[in-house]
Formats: sequence, C-alpha cells, structure tokens
Amino acid sequence: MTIDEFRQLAEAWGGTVARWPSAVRADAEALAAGSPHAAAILADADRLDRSLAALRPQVSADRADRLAGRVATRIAAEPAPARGWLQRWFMPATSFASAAVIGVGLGLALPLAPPINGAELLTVLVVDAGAVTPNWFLQ
Amino acid sequence: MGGGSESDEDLMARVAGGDNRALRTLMGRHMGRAVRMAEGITRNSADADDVAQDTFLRVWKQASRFDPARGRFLGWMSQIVTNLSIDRLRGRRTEPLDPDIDYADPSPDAVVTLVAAQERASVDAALAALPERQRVALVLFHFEEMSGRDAAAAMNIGEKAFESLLTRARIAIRERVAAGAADRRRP
Repeated sequence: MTIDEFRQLAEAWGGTVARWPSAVRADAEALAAGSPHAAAILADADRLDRSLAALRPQVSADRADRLAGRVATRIAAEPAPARGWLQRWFMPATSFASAAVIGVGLGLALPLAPPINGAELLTVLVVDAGAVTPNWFLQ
Repeated sequence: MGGGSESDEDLMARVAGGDNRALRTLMGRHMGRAVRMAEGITRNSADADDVAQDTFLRVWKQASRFDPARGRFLGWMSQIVTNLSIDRLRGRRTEPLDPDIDYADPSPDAVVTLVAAQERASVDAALAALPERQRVALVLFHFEEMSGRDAAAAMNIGEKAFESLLTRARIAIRERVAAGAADRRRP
C-alpha cells in the first residue's frame, strides 16, 4: 500500500483503521506502525472523526418512551392490517379457485358450438380482416 | 412477557403475527436509535420525532415483508429511517439548523472553550450544508457507527459507492471548516 492509497482510505473511513474495510486493514496497520507520515494522516483523520462524533444527537430515554407510546396509541386507533402468510394468500387463492370452478362448470354445462362450414369460415375471415387496420401492430 | 432475550428477528416474527407487545419491545430497544439517526439526517428534532414514529408504524404494517434471511432487523429499520428522513428533507425548501438539538459534550472535563465551540458550530454548519446522501453516509458511519457494509446496505448502494460518498462528505466538511476559519481570521 502506498502512502497516497493510505491517505485516500483515511479520507473515506477516518482515523481508526479497525473500521476500514477488512481487505485493506492489515496493510494499513503495517504502514501506520512503520511510517510517521501515515501516523500523522491518521491523527488528522481522527480529529475530524471526533468533531463529527461531538455532533451526534443525544436522545433521552423519556423522549424515546414518549414516541413509542404515541406509536402504540396510533396503532390501537387503526384497524389491524392483514397478518401472516395465511391471510396474505387467502384472498388471491380463494379468488383463483372460484374462477377455476366457474370456468370448469361453464365449460361442462354449455353446449358445444356446431362445427363451422367452409362458407361461414370464409365470411368470418373476411369480416375480421376488414376490422383490422393495416398498422394494427403499431397500436 | 418482555422479550428481553429474544432476538430482534424473533420479535419481528411475532410482530408479523400481530403481537403489539413484541413491537413495544422492539421500540424499547431501538426507538432512541431511530430518533438519533433521523435527527442526524434531518437536523431537526420535530422532523426526527415524526420520522421515528412513522418508522415503527411502517415496521408494524409491513412486518410480513421483513425477511431475516436477507438481513438483520437493524439494517431494515435503518433503511426505513433513511428513506423517510430523505423524503422529509425533500419536502422542505430550506434546512434550518435546529438550535434545540442537544449535542454530546466532546470535552471530558466539560470545559468548552470558545475556539472549540466555534469549530463545532462550523462542522455542524458544514454537515447541514452537505447534499443529503453524503450526510446520510456520515450519519450512518459516524453517528451510528455502522460498518461500511451495513451502512451501504442501509442506503441500498454498493460499498465502493458508499466509500465515495464518505470521502466527498469529509472533504466538503474540511473545506468548509477551513474556509470558515479563514473568514474568522480576517480583520
């Protein structure tokens, strides 16, 4: 690892090598241990780390509890959403099963259409072709 | 039943079954983190409160979508907080600094010098001025101390892209703080 690579990594990940990506950590630690320049880069990065850490918002337990209470109140006021895999799959599964039953029932109950003769077939083809525009495939 | 020894993921299985006590336990564990994360990103305590509440409402409503095989609860929650916080920022025209945010005292002996206070205010202003995704990267890595991999996953980006965001964020803060210091030195 070169000192420039080390500097780039410190600029991204800060002054604690233990928080750098594992793939570069060992090389970085070796360089930091043997190079005053690398150690100075780390110290500089660490200074910014500490400035940022000082800005970390503090959240009191009371505030968190109050918010949790509000969430619980809002949930209690709302109807319960569908839960679990059974409920999530029940509606689509029953809809599909109903459609299948109706389809099979109609198929068995309705009489079959009589076979179409040649003249009727020709009429159907001519009428259907006339109903289709030349650029139908662009629509 | 407090669920003290149950993992977050086990609790989520119960939440998905409609157990609001399990949700309560999860909120007890992670509400503070959700608020802190949201406040770091939005820089506004009222927005942070709203985001944190909406996060757990979403956890409740979408619990069945959580898949422990794809990651831990904390990563999933962080993703929700991040998305809601960014939505909140995009709904705002300006991003005023919130004077009521209570920051950790960085000095062990509680003596904050004027120079240190100025520097902190300067870093704070620089953080607030960052583009939202750069700020999110800094918050997840520095405030929440998430690993690069977890933070990248929470932002739904690759580790390299996350590294790039962090680099640009830190450079921008340095430059802005240096410019502020130069301005203060001018007569």
